[in-house]
Amino acid sequence: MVVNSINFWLFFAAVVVPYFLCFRGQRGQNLWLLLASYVFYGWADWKILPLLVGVTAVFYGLGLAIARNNESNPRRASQLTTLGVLLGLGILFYFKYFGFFVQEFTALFASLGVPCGERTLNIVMPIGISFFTFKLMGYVIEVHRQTAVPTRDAVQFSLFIAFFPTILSGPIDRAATFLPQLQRRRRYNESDVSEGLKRVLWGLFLKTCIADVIAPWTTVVFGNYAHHNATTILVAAPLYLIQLYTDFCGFSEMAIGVARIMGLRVVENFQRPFFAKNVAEYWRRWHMSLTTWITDYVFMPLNVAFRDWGLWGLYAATLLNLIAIGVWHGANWTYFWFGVYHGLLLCIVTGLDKRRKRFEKAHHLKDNELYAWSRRLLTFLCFTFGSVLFQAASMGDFLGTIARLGQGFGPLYSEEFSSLVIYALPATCLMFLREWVAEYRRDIHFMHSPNIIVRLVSIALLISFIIYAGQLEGNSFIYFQF
Amino acid sequence: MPPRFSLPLKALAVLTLVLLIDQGVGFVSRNVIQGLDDKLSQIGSIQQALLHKRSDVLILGASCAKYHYNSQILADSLQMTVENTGVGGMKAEYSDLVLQSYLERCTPRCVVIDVYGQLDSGEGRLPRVRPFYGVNQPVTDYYDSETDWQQRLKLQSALYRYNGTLDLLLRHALNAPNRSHGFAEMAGELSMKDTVVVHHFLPDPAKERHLRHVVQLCRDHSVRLVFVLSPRREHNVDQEAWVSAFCREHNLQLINELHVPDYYTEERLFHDESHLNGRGAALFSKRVARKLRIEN
Repeated sequence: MVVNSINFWLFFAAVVVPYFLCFRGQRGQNLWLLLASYVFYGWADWKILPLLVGVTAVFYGLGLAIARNNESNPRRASQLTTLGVLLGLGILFYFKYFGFFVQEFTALFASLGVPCGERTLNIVMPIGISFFTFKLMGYVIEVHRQTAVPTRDAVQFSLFIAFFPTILSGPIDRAATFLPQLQRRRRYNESDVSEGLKRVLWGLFLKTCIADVIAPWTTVVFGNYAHHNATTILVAAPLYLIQLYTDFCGFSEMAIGVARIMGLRVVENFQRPFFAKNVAEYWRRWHMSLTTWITDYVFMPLNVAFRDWGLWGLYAATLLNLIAIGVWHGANWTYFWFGVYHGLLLCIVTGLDKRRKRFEKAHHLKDNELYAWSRRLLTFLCFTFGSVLFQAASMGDFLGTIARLGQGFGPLYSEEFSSLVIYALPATCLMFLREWVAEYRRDIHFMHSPNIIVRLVSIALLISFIIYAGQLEGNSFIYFQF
Repeated sequence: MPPRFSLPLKALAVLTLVLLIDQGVGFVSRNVIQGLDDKLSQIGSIQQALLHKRSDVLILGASCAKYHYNSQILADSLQMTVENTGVGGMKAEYSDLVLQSYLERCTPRCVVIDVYGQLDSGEGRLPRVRPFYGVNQPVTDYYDSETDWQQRLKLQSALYRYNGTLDLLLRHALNAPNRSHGFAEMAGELSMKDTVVVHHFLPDPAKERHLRHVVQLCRDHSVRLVFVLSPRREHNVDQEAWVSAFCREHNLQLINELHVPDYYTEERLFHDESHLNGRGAALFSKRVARKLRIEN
């Protein structure tokens, strides 16, 4: 049941109407939402539901135990926090990486002449596991650091973990900001509902009119890269980055919008990454809930641990941080090298930062728009290259795709390309226009115009465009696999 | 201070605007699509097959039909009018819909169906016939009887029915006029020599039902029905066996060209693994015409 389906909206209507009408207090609302969240998750994979309930119960207990020991027995609190983190990592490792390691070691021993036999593990990866385990681990760390108050209410805690708009694909919320919202009754609020619906509509637009229109073409190109020339690969690469962004940002917008309708604020996940002027800024704007999580709980401790090494310590922490982001996506060497690639880019950006600032000052480039846009273009191209690595099924596929660039240019693969030009191009221009307005704080508004006629006409036109031009029987979301 | 409107009132206003746009887009699109001239584009071929074409011989099928059956050669050889209604990516439902539409206008003397791939599962390009919902009776009946309530609900919207038609119309505008009665010639030569043999075939039950309906319709209207397996470098042995058994069961003529004679390869008559090029299509059409004449 995906957010862009009629089934989801029927489900949501069946949840949200009683949510506002039937419950007089937050307890009833939370219990109702928890029930709905478990139904939603069970709909996707009911066999994994006991695992979700089980780990939630364990981490609930851990949170309370850590809070109890924080003052009286800090050592025990630290041990319990470590236990929680190890448990979270263990769950992730078993379901997400174990099969990969078995395969890799079997291949390694075989290459050394030690046959281990063919082993295939059929471990089913629970949907959304990377998202909810990070929430669980983040919770115990926050409780230990005393940046979040542990909840005694098991329903609240379970709802924080299983909240249905975000469980499948994030954003990865923090206990400190989400749990307090569950401690008061949410009333029907017209501005929240209106804003939530607008965000859902925009997310639907990004997903159906851009991501799913581009997807069939890029899938054919990268799926059969050996049959395509350099021209086609060079066009497909930036298109894939736009597809990836609009697919994931579209989902995040819908998840945030759905939560907002119910009066709950979920953390933002994207902030116009294509307007970033360097790789570091890009990562601060892309999948923000993951990058801030890893920065807080991986980068910061590493940076402190390596502080004696000076700048090299910072580089090491940066590299490991980005590798962690890369392998979070899955058990594949492509994700590892994706992390290494971005880690190295970040190290270069960090290393050249002072020189860049001196250069800008000497040439008065700080407010030069042309210079700013050329930096944005360079950043976009760096991420485009990374996205080719990201989409590849294996390193062999990635190297094969890159090797096609040396095979010469030729005519662009034009099958179904016209739909990209007719639907995805104007939709992408509209997306950039909206982001440009937000980035430069221009006083141009469509869906948020103070003039009600402009507002309503914009919304009606957007709905019509989605139905007329969107891929309404489109794909699932890319990030569901993580 | 501007007046404040409640959310339900605003929602009603948006809904009214969307309905107006829906009706406007529906009116324009319906008229544009119904008035399309006869061209070799996808939307043009579908429109002509569902609404206008008449002939003595009707060719049904997917891309193999479109690229293999040279209508002019068949017409000259059989001394009958021939229309090729093959559209790439279409399956048995489409063949059934075209035949039903044809029979509402005329009774062909012979129906030839290029059957390879007609029973594969999946929707293929069938959504391309959605613009004809409410315009063409067989298409309307198909969606009303064979799709779920969600699809039927969505089809009430003209915006949804005409979803994705803008680029089809643009491609139609850029396409050449249809002077070949639906046949399109493929260029290029395939250098591959070996035939790839594939096994395992499970016909899609819905597609099989439509194929049986095609047989029944031809029986009811006393139309000669011929099944053809056209040559390809990659063929499914189990599918071939299934089609042969089906033809025996229904006492239908089967022209089986799957076991490609050597000269198809030697003379480089293939465009790719599944499609003949123009020269291959000419040779194949002559062979089919001869077999159709012999059995007539």
